[in-house]
Amino acid sequence: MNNAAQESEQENASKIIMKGTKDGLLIMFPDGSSWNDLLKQLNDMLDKDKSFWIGASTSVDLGNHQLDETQINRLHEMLIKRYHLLLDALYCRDENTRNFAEKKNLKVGKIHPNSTRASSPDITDIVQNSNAVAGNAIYLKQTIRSGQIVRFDGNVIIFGDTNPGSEIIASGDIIVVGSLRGIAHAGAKGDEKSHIVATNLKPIQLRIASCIGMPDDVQTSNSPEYACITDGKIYIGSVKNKR
Amino acid sequence: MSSRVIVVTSGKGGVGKTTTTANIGMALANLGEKVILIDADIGLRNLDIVLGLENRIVYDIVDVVEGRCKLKQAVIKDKRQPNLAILPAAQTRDKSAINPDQMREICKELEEDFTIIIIDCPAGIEQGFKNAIAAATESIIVTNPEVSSIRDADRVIGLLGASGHEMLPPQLIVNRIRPEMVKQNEMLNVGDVEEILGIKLLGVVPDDETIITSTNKGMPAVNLENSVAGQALRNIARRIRGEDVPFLDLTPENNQGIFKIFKKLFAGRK
Repeated sequence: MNNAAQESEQENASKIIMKGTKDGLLIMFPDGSSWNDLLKQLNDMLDKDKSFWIGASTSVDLGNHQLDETQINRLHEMLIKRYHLLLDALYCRDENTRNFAEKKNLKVGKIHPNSTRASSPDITDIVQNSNAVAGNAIYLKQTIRSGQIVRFDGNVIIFGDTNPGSEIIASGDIIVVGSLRGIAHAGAKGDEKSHIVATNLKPIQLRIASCIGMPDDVQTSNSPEYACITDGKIYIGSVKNKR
Repeated sequence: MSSRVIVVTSGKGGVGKTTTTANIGMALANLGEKVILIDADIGLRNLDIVLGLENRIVYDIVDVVEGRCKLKQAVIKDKRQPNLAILPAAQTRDKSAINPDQMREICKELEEDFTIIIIDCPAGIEQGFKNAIAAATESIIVTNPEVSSIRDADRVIGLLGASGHEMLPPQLIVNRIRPEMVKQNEMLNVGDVEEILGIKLLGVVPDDETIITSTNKGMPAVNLENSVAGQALRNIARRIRGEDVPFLDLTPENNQGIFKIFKKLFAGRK
Protein backbone atom coordinates (compact mmCIF):
# COMPACT_ATOMS: atom_id res chain seq x y z
CA MET A 1 0.00 0.00 0.00
CA ASN A 2 2.80 2.37 0.87
CA ASN A 3 4.48 1.68 -2.42
CA ALA A 4 1.36 2.40 -4.31
CA ALA A 5 1.01 5.70 -2.55
CA GLN A 6 4.55 6.76 -3.33
CA GLU A 7 4.22 5.70 -6.92
CA SER A 8 1.08 7.68 -7.34
CA GLU A 9 2.70 10.85 -6.15
CA GLN A 10 5.30 10.55 -8.85
CA GLU A 11 2.98 9.82 -11.72
CA ASN A 12 -0.08 11.61 -10.50
CA ALA A 13 -0.96 13.00 -13.90
CA SER A 14 -1.76 9.61 -15.43
CA LYS A 15 -3.47 8.17 -12.35
CA ILE A 16 -7.11 7.73 -11.66
CA ILE A 17 -8.20 9.79 -8.68
CA MET A 18 -10.73 8.35 -6.28
CA LYS A 19 -12.04 10.59 -3.59
CA GLY A 20 -14.83 10.77 -1.07
CA THR A 21 -17.25 13.67 -1.46
CA LYS A 22 -20.28 14.42 0.62
CA ASP A 23 -22.39 12.64 -2.02
CA GLY A 24 -20.24 9.53 -2.10
CA LEU A 25 -17.34 8.29 -4.19
CA LEU A 26 -16.00 10.27 -7.12
CA ILE A 27 -13.81 8.49 -9.67
CA MET A 28 -11.92 10.87 -11.94
CA PHE A 29 -10.14 9.59 -15.04
CA PRO A 30 -7.03 11.47 -16.17
CA ASP A 31 -6.89 12.59 -19.78
CA GLY A 32 -4.36 10.98 -22.05
CA SER A 33 -3.77 7.32 -21.13
CA SER A 34 -5.48 4.59 -23.13
CA TRP A 35 -8.89 3.48 -21.94
CA ASN A 36 -7.91 -0.16 -21.46
CA ASP A 37 -4.92 0.78 -19.28
CA LEU A 38 -7.14 3.02 -17.18
CA LEU A 39 -9.74 0.31 -16.78
CA LYS A 40 -7.09 -2.08 -15.54
CA GLN A 41 -5.79 0.56 -13.16
CA LEU A 42 -9.30 1.12 -11.81
CA ASN A 43 -9.70 -2.62 -11.29
CA ASP A 44 -6.51 -2.77 -9.26
CA MET A 45 -7.49 0.23 -7.14
CA LEU A 46 -10.96 -1.06 -6.41
CA ASP A 47 -9.71 -4.59 -5.65
CA LYS A 48 -7.54 -3.12 -2.95
CA ASP A 49 -10.26 -1.11 -1.23
CA LYS A 50 -13.22 -3.31 -2.03
CA SER A 51 -14.94 -3.44 1.34
CA PHE A 52 -14.44 0.25 2.02
CA TRP A 53 -16.55 1.40 -0.89
CA ILE A 54 -19.26 -1.29 -1.02
CA GLY A 55 -22.67 0.29 -1.49
CA ALA A 56 -21.29 3.80 -1.94
CA SER A 57 -23.06 6.21 -4.27
CA THR A 58 -20.64 6.76 -7.09
CA SER A 59 -20.04 9.37 -9.74
CA VAL A 60 -17.63 8.94 -12.62
CA ASP A 61 -15.89 11.85 -14.32
CA LEU A 62 -14.46 10.84 -17.69
CA GLY A 63 -13.01 14.20 -18.59
CA ASN A 64 -12.15 14.22 -22.32
CA HIS A 65 -12.45 10.48 -22.90
CA GLN A 66 -14.94 9.38 -25.55
CA LEU A 67 -16.55 6.01 -24.99
CA ASP A 68 -18.84 3.98 -27.22
CA GLU A 69 -21.90 2.18 -25.96
CA THR A 70 -20.11 -1.12 -25.33
CA GLN A 71 -17.43 0.58 -23.26
CA ILE A 72 -20.02 2.41 -21.18
CA ASN A 73 -21.92 -0.81 -20.62
CA ARG A 74 -18.73 -2.57 -19.59
CA LEU A 75 -17.81 0.17 -17.10
CA HIS A 76 -21.36 0.20 -15.76
CA GLU A 77 -21.39 -3.56 -15.28
CA MET A 78 -17.96 -3.64 -13.70
CA LEU A 79 -18.73 -0.97 -11.09
CA ILE A 80 -22.14 -2.34 -10.21
CA LYS A 81 -21.79 -6.10 -10.48
CA ARG A 82 -18.16 -6.62 -9.56
CA TYR A 83 -17.60 -3.92 -6.96
CA HIS A 84 -21.20 -3.38 -5.78
CA LEU A 85 -21.09 0.38 -6.13
CA LEU A 86 -24.26 2.38 -6.69
CA LEU A 87 -23.42 4.19 -9.91
CA ASP A 88 -25.45 7.43 -9.96
CA ALA A 89 -23.88 9.84 -12.34
CA LEU A 90 -21.49 10.12 -15.24
CA TYR A 91 -19.68 13.27 -16.27
CA CYS A 92 -18.04 13.65 -19.63
CA ARG A 93 -17.26 16.45 -22.03
CA ASP A 94 -18.30 14.29 -24.98
CA GLU A 95 -21.98 14.45 -25.84
CA ASN A 96 -22.28 11.00 -27.44
CA THR A 97 -20.78 9.37 -24.35
CA ARG A 98 -23.29 11.21 -22.19
CA ASN A 99 -26.14 9.99 -24.37
CA PHE A 100 -25.06 6.37 -23.93
CA ALA A 101 -24.89 6.92 -20.17
CA GLU A 102 -28.37 8.39 -20.14
CA LYS A 103 -29.67 5.18 -21.65
CA LYS A 104 -28.36 3.46 -18.53
CA ASN A 105 -30.48 5.80 -16.42
CA LEU A 106 -27.47 7.69 -15.11
CA LYS A 107 -27.49 11.36 -14.28
CA VAL A 108 -25.17 13.09 -16.72
CA GLY A 109 -23.23 16.31 -16.85
CA LYS A 110 -20.18 17.87 -18.46
CA ILE A 111 -18.03 18.07 -15.36
CA HIS A 112 -18.47 16.99 -11.73
CA PRO A 113 -19.10 20.00 -9.46
CA ASN A 114 -16.38 18.84 -7.06
CA SER A 115 -14.01 17.92 -9.81
CA THR A 116 -10.81 19.85 -9.53
CA ARG A 117 -8.96 18.48 -12.46
CA ALA A 118 -5.77 19.93 -11.10
CA SER A 119 -4.30 17.52 -8.56
CA SER A 120 -5.09 19.48 -5.42
CA PRO A 121 -4.41 17.47 -2.29
CA ASP A 122 -7.60 16.29 -0.63
CA ILE A 123 -7.95 14.94 2.87
CA THR A 124 -10.16 12.09 1.62
CA ASP A 125 -8.07 11.31 -1.40
CA ILE A 126 -7.33 7.60 -1.20
CA VAL A 127 -4.41 7.61 -3.55
CA GLN A 128 -2.51 10.24 -1.67
CA ASN A 129 -3.37 9.07 1.81
CA SER A 130 -3.65 5.34 1.52
CA ASN A 131 -2.78 4.98 5.19
CA ALA A 132 -4.57 6.84 7.94
CA VAL A 133 -2.11 9.31 9.39
CA ALA A 134 -2.11 11.73 12.28
CA GLY A 135 -4.32 14.66 11.49
CA ASN A 136 -6.51 12.70 9.11
CA ALA A 137 -9.68 12.42 11.13
CA ILE A 138 -13.23 13.60 11.10
CA TYR A 139 -15.00 14.77 14.25
CA LEU A 140 -18.78 14.58 14.41
CA LYS A 141 -20.73 16.00 17.31
CA GLN A 142 -24.13 14.45 16.72
CA THR A 143 -26.23 11.30 16.99
CA ILE A 144 -25.81 8.93 14.05
CA ARG A 145 -29.25 7.47 13.47
CA SER A 146 -30.65 4.40 11.75
CA GLY A 147 -30.01 4.51 8.00
CA GLN A 148 -27.18 7.02 8.26
CA ILE A 149 -23.71 6.01 7.10
CA VAL A 150 -20.47 7.75 7.99
CA ARG A 151 -17.75 6.72 5.57
CA PHE A 152 -14.36 8.35 5.93
CA ASP A 153 -10.86 7.62 4.74
CA GLY A 154 -9.10 8.13 8.04
CA ASN A 155 -10.10 8.08 11.70
CA VAL A 156 -13.62 8.84 12.86
CA ILE A 157 -14.43 10.42 16.19
CA ILE A 158 -18.03 10.77 17.24
CA PHE A 159 -19.21 12.69 20.25
CA GLY A 160 -22.74 11.30 20.50
CA ASP A 161 -24.46 7.95 20.10
CA THR A 162 -24.49 5.74 17.03
CA ASN A 163 -27.87 4.03 16.97
CA PRO A 164 -28.89 0.56 15.78
CA GLY A 165 -29.17 0.58 11.99
CA SER A 166 -26.36 3.10 11.53
CA GLU A 167 -22.97 2.32 10.06
CA ILE A 168 -19.55 3.86 10.63
CA ILE A 169 -16.90 2.88 8.10
CA ALA A 170 -13.36 4.18 8.49
CA SER A 171 -10.03 3.22 7.01
CA GLY A 172 -8.50 3.99 10.41
CA ASP A 173 -9.81 3.92 13.98
CA ILE A 174 -13.30 4.62 15.22
CA ILE A 175 -13.81 6.37 18.53
CA VAL A 176 -17.27 6.93 19.93
CA VAL A 177 -17.66 9.07 23.00
CA GLY A 178 -21.15 7.79 23.71
CA SER A 179 -22.97 4.55 22.97
CA LEU A 180 -21.95 2.55 19.92
CA ARG A 181 -25.09 0.59 19.06
CA GLY A 182 -24.88 0.23 15.30
CA ILE A 183 -22.29 -1.31 13.02
CA ALA A 184 -18.69 -0.11 13.11
CA HIS A 185 -16.08 -1.08 10.55
CA ALA A 186 -12.55 0.09 11.35
CA GLY A 187 -9.56 -0.51 9.09
CA ALA A 188 -11.98 -0.96 6.23
CA LYS A 189 -9.14 -0.84 3.73
CA GLY A 190 -7.33 -3.72 5.36
CA ASP A 191 -5.48 -2.22 8.31
CA GLU A 192 -5.66 -4.96 10.96
CA LYS A 193 -4.10 -2.70 13.59
CA SER A 194 -7.17 -0.48 13.68
CA HIS A 195 -9.13 -0.06 16.90
CA ILE A 196 -12.72 0.66 17.79
CA VAL A 197 -13.21 2.46 21.09
CA ALA A 198 -16.47 3.45 22.75
CA THR A 199 -17.55 4.63 26.18
CA ASN A 200 -20.46 2.22 25.88
CA LEU A 201 -19.77 -0.56 23.40
CA LYS A 202 -23.08 -2.25 22.51
CA PRO A 203 -22.74 -2.82 18.78
CA ILE A 204 -24.92 -4.90 16.48
CA GLN A 205 -21.73 -5.95 14.74
CA LEU A 206 -18.07 -4.98 14.78
CA ARG A 207 -15.73 -5.28 11.84
CA ILE A 208 -12.03 -4.66 11.74
CA ALA A 209 -10.30 -5.10 8.38
CA SER A 210 -11.82 -8.37 7.09
CA CYS A 211 -12.71 -9.71 10.57
CA ILE A 212 -16.32 -9.70 11.71
CA GLY A 213 -17.52 -10.05 15.28
CA MET A 214 -21.07 -10.40 16.57
CA PRO A 215 -21.98 -9.33 20.11
CA ASP A 216 -22.82 -12.99 20.90
CA ASP A 217 -19.16 -13.78 20.36
CA VAL A 218 -17.95 -10.96 22.52
CA GLN A 219 -19.01 -9.95 26.00
CA THR A 220 -19.27 -6.23 26.58
CA SER A 221 -19.66 -4.34 29.83
CA ASN A 222 -20.90 -0.86 30.66
CA SER A 223 -17.46 0.65 31.11
CA PRO A 224 -15.39 2.08 28.23
CA GLU A 225 -14.05 -0.67 25.99
CA TYR A 226 -11.97 -1.09 22.88
CA ALA A 227 -11.92 -3.72 20.16
CA CYS A 228 -8.95 -4.90 18.12
CA ILE A 229 -7.78 -7.96 16.28
CA THR A 230 -5.91 -10.53 18.37
CA ASP A 231 -4.99 -13.93 16.86
CA GLY A 232 -7.20 -13.29 13.87
CA LYS A 233 -10.29 -12.63 15.98
CA ILE A 234 -11.98 -9.53 17.31
CA TYR A 235 -11.05 -9.07 20.94
CA ILE A 236 -12.86 -6.74 23.35
CA GLY A 237 -11.02 -5.29 26.31
CA SER A 238 -11.61 -2.71 28.99
CA VAL A 239 -9.94 0.61 28.33
CA LYS A 240 -8.98 0.72 32.02
CA ASN A 241 -6.85 -2.41 31.71
CA LYS A 242 -5.22 -1.39 28.47
CA ARG A 243 -2.03 -0.24 30.17
CA MET B 1 -49.07 35.68 13.65
CA SER B 2 -48.45 32.61 11.57
CA SER B 3 -49.89 29.33 12.74
CA ARG B 4 -48.04 26.26 13.94
CA VAL B 5 -47.63 23.46 11.41
CA ILE B 6 -47.01 20.11 13.10
CA VAL B 7 -46.41 16.82 11.30
CA VAL B 8 -47.23 13.54 13.07
CA THR B 9 -44.97 10.81 11.75
CA SER B 10 -43.41 7.46 12.67
CA GLY B 11 -41.79 5.69 9.74
CA LYS B 12 -43.44 2.40 10.63
CA GLY B 13 -47.11 1.82 9.92
CA GLY B 14 -49.74 0.88 12.45
CA VAL B 15 -48.22 2.59 15.48
CA GLY B 16 -51.18 4.94 15.89
CA LYS B 17 -50.36 8.10 13.93
CA THR B 18 -53.88 8.70 12.66
CA THR B 19 -55.58 8.00 15.99
CA THR B 20 -53.07 10.24 17.74
CA THR B 21 -53.58 13.02 15.18
CA ALA B 22 -57.36 12.85 15.51
CA ASN B 23 -57.26 12.87 19.30
CA ILE B 24 -54.70 15.60 19.71
CA GLY B 25 -56.59 17.68 17.16
CA MET B 26 -59.87 17.26 19.00
CA ALA B 27 -58.26 17.98 22.38
CA LEU B 28 -56.58 21.16 21.07
CA ALA B 29 -59.87 22.30 19.56
CA ASN B 30 -61.60 21.66 22.90
CA LEU B 31 -59.00 23.93 24.48
CA GLY B 32 -60.00 26.73 22.15
CA GLU B 33 -57.46 26.43 19.33
CA LYS B 34 -58.64 26.67 15.73
CA VAL B 35 -57.34 23.36 14.40
CA ILE B 36 -57.20 21.77 10.96
CA LEU B 37 -55.99 18.22 10.40
CA ILE B 38 -54.57 17.36 6.97
CA ASP B 39 -54.65 13.73 5.89
CA ALA B 40 -51.50 13.31 3.80
CA ASP B 41 -52.05 9.58 3.35
CA ILE B 42 -53.34 9.84 -0.21
CA GLY B 43 -54.80 6.58 -1.45
CA LEU B 44 -55.33 5.21 2.07
CA ARG B 45 -57.74 7.71 3.55
CA ASN B 46 -58.37 7.08 7.26
CA LEU B 47 -58.44 10.26 9.30
CA ASP B 48 -62.02 11.09 8.34
CA ILE B 49 -63.20 7.65 9.49
CA VAL B 50 -61.54 7.95 12.89
CA LEU B 51 -63.37 11.26 13.33
CA GLY B 52 -66.65 9.94 11.95
CA LEU B 53 -66.68 12.46 9.11
CA GLU B 54 -66.46 10.13 6.14
CA ASN B 55 -69.97 10.81 4.88
CA ARG B 56 -69.35 14.55 4.61
CA ILE B 57 -66.56 14.38 2.08
CA VAL B 58 -67.29 15.89 -1.32
CA TYR B 59 -63.86 17.17 -2.36
CA ASP B 60 -60.40 16.15 -1.19
CA ILE B 61 -56.84 17.47 -1.22
CA VAL B 62 -56.15 16.19 -4.75
CA ASP B 63 -59.23 18.01 -6.04
CA VAL B 64 -57.79 21.20 -4.53
CA VAL B 65 -54.36 20.66 -6.04
CA GLU B 66 -55.77 19.88 -9.47
CA GLY B 67 -58.10 22.86 -9.40
CA ARG B 68 -61.46 21.09 -9.31
CA CYS B 69 -62.51 23.01 -6.22
CA LYS B 70 -61.45 25.83 -3.90
CA LEU B 71 -59.54 24.91 -0.76
CA LYS B 72 -62.42 26.13 1.43
CA GLN B 73 -64.80 23.72 -0.30
CA ALA B 74 -62.67 20.71 0.61
CA VAL B 75 -62.28 21.67 4.28
CA ILE B 76 -64.79 19.80 6.46
CA LYS B 77 -65.89 21.11 9.85
CA ASP B 78 -66.26 18.60 12.66
CA LYS B 79 -69.87 17.87 13.56
CA ARG B 80 -69.31 18.20 17.32
CA GLN B 81 -66.51 20.72 17.68
CA PRO B 82 -66.71 23.82 15.46
CA ASN B 83 -63.03 24.65 16.18
CA LEU B 84 -61.93 21.47 14.43
CA ALA B 85 -61.75 20.85 10.68
CA ILE B 86 -60.11 18.32 8.40
CA LEU B 87 -58.78 18.34 4.86
CA PRO B 88 -59.29 14.77 3.67
CA ALA B 89 -56.97 12.75 1.45
CA ALA B 90 -58.10 11.24 -1.83
CA GLN B 91 -58.97 7.58 -1.68
CA THR B 92 -58.30 6.86 -5.34
CA ARG B 93 -54.93 8.29 -6.28
CA ASP B 94 -51.47 7.78 -4.80
CA LYS B 95 -48.77 9.87 -3.11
CA SER B 96 -47.45 11.26 -6.40
CA ALA B 97 -50.71 13.16 -6.90
CA ILE B 98 -49.30 16.10 -4.95
CA ASN B 99 -45.84 17.54 -4.40
CA PRO B 100 -44.11 19.38 -1.54
CA ASP B 101 -44.61 22.81 -3.13
CA GLN B 102 -48.35 22.26 -3.37
CA MET B 103 -48.43 21.13 0.25
CA ARG B 104 -46.63 24.30 1.32
CA GLU B 105 -49.09 26.40 -0.64
CA ILE B 106 -52.10 24.70 0.93
CA CYS B 107 -50.70 25.18 4.43
CA LYS B 108 -49.98 28.83 3.74
CA GLU B 109 -53.55 29.41 2.70
CA LEU B 110 -54.90 27.55 5.75
CA GLU B 111 -52.83 29.71 8.08
CA GLU B 112 -55.37 32.51 7.61
CA ASP B 113 -58.14 30.56 9.32
CA PHE B 114 -56.41 28.22 11.74
CA THR B 115 -53.95 28.54 14.63
CA ILE B 116 -52.68 24.97 14.47
CA ILE B 117 -52.28 22.78 11.38
CA ILE B 118 -51.58 19.10 12.06
CA ILE B 119 -50.48 16.86 9.20
CA ASP B 120 -51.08 13.12 9.46
CA CYS B 121 -48.10 11.60 7.67
CA PRO B 122 -48.36 8.27 5.83
CA ALA B 123 -46.11 5.38 6.85
CA GLY B 124 -42.84 5.09 4.98
CA ILE B 125 -40.15 7.54 4.01
CA GLU B 126 -40.96 8.08 0.35
CA GLN B 127 -42.91 10.74 -1.55
CA GLY B 128 -45.81 10.80 0.92
CA PHE B 129 -43.44 11.46 3.79
CA LYS B 130 -41.67 14.19 1.83
CA ASN B 131 -45.00 15.87 1.06
CA ALA B 132 -46.13 15.66 4.66
CA ILE B 133 -43.02 17.23 6.18
CA ALA B 134 -42.54 19.90 3.52
CA ALA B 135 -44.59 22.59 5.23
CA ALA B 136 -44.05 21.51 8.83
CA THR B 137 -42.03 23.51 11.34
CA GLU B 138 -42.62 21.08 14.20
CA SER B 139 -42.81 17.31 14.37
CA ILE B 140 -44.21 14.66 16.66
CA ILE B 141 -42.76 11.15 16.42
CA VAL B 142 -45.14 8.37 17.43
CA THR B 143 -43.55 5.07 18.39
CA ASN B 144 -44.54 1.86 20.15
CA PRO B 145 -42.29 0.36 22.80
CA GLU B 146 -40.89 -2.32 20.51
CA VAL B 147 -37.59 -2.43 18.68
CA SER B 148 -38.66 -2.28 15.03
CA SER B 149 -40.89 0.71 15.63
CA ILE B 150 -38.07 2.50 17.50
CA ARG B 151 -35.63 1.73 14.70
CA ASP B 152 -37.94 3.30 12.13
CA ALA B 153 -38.61 6.28 14.38
CA ASP B 154 -34.87 6.80 14.66
CA ARG B 155 -34.54 6.74 10.87
CA VAL B 156 -37.29 9.30 10.52
CA ILE B 157 -35.70 11.60 13.11
CA GLY B 158 -32.52 11.45 11.04
CA LEU B 159 -34.43 12.26 7.85
CA LEU B 160 -36.22 15.19 9.49
CA GLY B 161 -32.84 16.59 10.50
CA ALA B 162 -31.64 16.32 6.91
CA SER B 163 -34.85 17.70 5.37
CA GLY B 164 -33.18 20.97 4.49
CA HIS B 165 -35.70 23.33 6.05
CA GLU B 166 -35.88 24.86 9.51
CA MET B 167 -37.70 22.65 11.99
CA LEU B 168 -37.86 22.58 15.77
CA PRO B 169 -36.42 19.42 17.36
CA PRO B 170 -38.90 16.53 17.13
CA GLN B 171 -40.89 15.45 20.17
CA LEU B 172 -41.82 11.92 21.15
CA ILE B 173 -45.05 10.13 21.97
CA VAL B 174 -44.68 6.54 23.17
CA ASN B 175 -47.95 4.88 22.27
CA ARG B 176 -49.52 1.63 23.48
CA ILE B 177 -47.43 1.06 26.55
CA ARG B 178 -48.65 -1.78 28.77
CA PRO B 179 -47.76 -1.00 32.36
CA GLU B 180 -48.13 -4.59 33.63
CA MET B 181 -45.72 -5.85 30.99
CA VAL B 182 -43.23 -3.08 31.68
CA LYS B 183 -43.37 -3.90 35.36
CA GLN B 184 -42.57 -7.55 34.67
CA ASN B 185 -39.73 -6.50 32.37
CA GLU B 186 -41.47 -8.04 29.37
CA MET B 187 -41.69 -4.75 27.51
CA LEU B 188 -39.30 -1.88 26.90
CA ASN B 189 -40.03 0.96 29.26
CA VAL B 190 -40.26 4.61 28.36
CA GLY B 191 -36.74 5.24 29.62
CA ASP B 192 -35.34 2.64 27.19
CA VAL B 193 -37.11 4.31 24.27
CA GLU B 194 -35.96 7.77 25.33
CA GLU B 195 -32.37 6.60 25.69
CA ILE B 196 -32.16 5.38 22.11
CA LEU B 197 -34.02 8.21 20.43
CA GLY B 198 -32.69 11.01 22.60
CA ILE B 199 -35.49 13.47 21.92
CA LYS B 200 -37.90 15.26 24.26
CA LEU B 201 -40.81 13.17 25.55
CA LEU B 202 -44.17 14.76 24.88
CA GLY B 203 -46.29 12.01 26.39
CA VAL B 204 -46.97 8.35 27.00
CA VAL B 205 -50.25 6.77 25.96
CA PRO B 206 -51.24 3.42 27.49
CA ASP B 207 -52.66 0.57 25.47
CA ASP B 208 -56.34 1.02 26.13
CA GLU B 209 -59.47 -0.71 24.82
CA THR B 210 -61.39 2.53 24.79
CA ILE B 211 -59.20 3.65 21.88
CA ILE B 212 -60.39 0.75 19.74
CA THR B 213 -64.07 1.24 20.51
CA SER B 214 -63.94 5.01 20.17
CA THR B 215 -62.02 4.77 16.90
CA ASN B 216 -64.58 2.40 15.44
CA LYS B 217 -67.40 4.73 16.46
CA GLY B 218 -65.67 7.77 14.99
CA MET B 219 -65.56 9.42 18.40
CA PRO B 220 -62.07 10.44 19.61
CA ALA B 221 -61.16 9.04 23.03
CA VAL B 222 -60.26 12.49 24.34
CA ASN B 223 -63.98 13.16 24.52
CA LEU B 224 -64.51 10.19 26.85
CA GLU B 225 -64.21 11.22 30.48
CA ASN B 226 -63.17 7.81 31.80
CA SER B 227 -60.58 6.78 29.21
CA VAL B 228 -56.98 6.63 30.49
CA ALA B 229 -55.61 6.94 26.96
CA GLY B 230 -57.96 9.88 26.44
CA GLN B 231 -56.56 11.55 29.55
CA ALA B 232 -52.98 10.96 28.37
CA LEU B 233 -53.83 12.50 24.99
CA ARG B 234 -55.57 15.50 26.59
CA ASN B 235 -52.39 16.08 28.60
CA ILE B 236 -50.32 15.88 25.43
CA ALA B 237 -52.51 18.55 23.83
CA ARG B 238 -51.94 20.82 26.83
CA ARG B 239 -48.19 20.26 26.62
CA ILE B 240 -48.28 21.16 22.92
CA ARG B 241 -49.79 24.49 23.98
CA GLY B 242 -46.83 24.99 26.30
CA GLU B 243 -48.43 24.03 29.62
CA ASP B 244 -46.34 22.11 32.11
CA VAL B 245 -48.48 19.04 32.82
CA PRO B 246 -47.08 16.21 34.97
CA PHE B 247 -46.90 12.77 33.37
CA LEU B 248 -49.64 10.27 34.23
CA ASP B 249 -48.66 7.56 36.64
CA LEU B 250 -49.30 4.39 34.70
CA THR B 251 -48.00 1.84 37.18
CA PRO B 252 -50.52 -1.00 37.45
CA GLU B 253 -51.74 -0.27 41.02
CA ASN B 254 -52.83 3.19 40.04
CA ASN B 255 -54.36 2.09 36.80
CA GLN B 256 -57.72 1.28 38.41
CA GLY B 257 -58.20 4.59 40.17
CA ILE B 258 -57.04 6.22 36.94
CA PHE B 259 -55.81 9.80 36.78
CA LYS B 260 -56.35 10.42 40.46
CA ILE B 261 -52.68 10.53 41.34
CA PHE B 262 -50.14 12.21 39.12
CA LYS B 263 -46.53 11.29 39.53
CA LYS B 264 -43.62 12.38 37.44
CA LEU B 265 -41.76 9.09 37.58
CA PHE B 266 -42.08 6.09 35.34
CA ALA B 267 -40.57 2.71 35.95
CA GLY B 268 -37.01 2.91 34.79
CA ARG B 269 -36.80 6.65 34.26
CA LYS B 270 -34.02 8.34 36.10
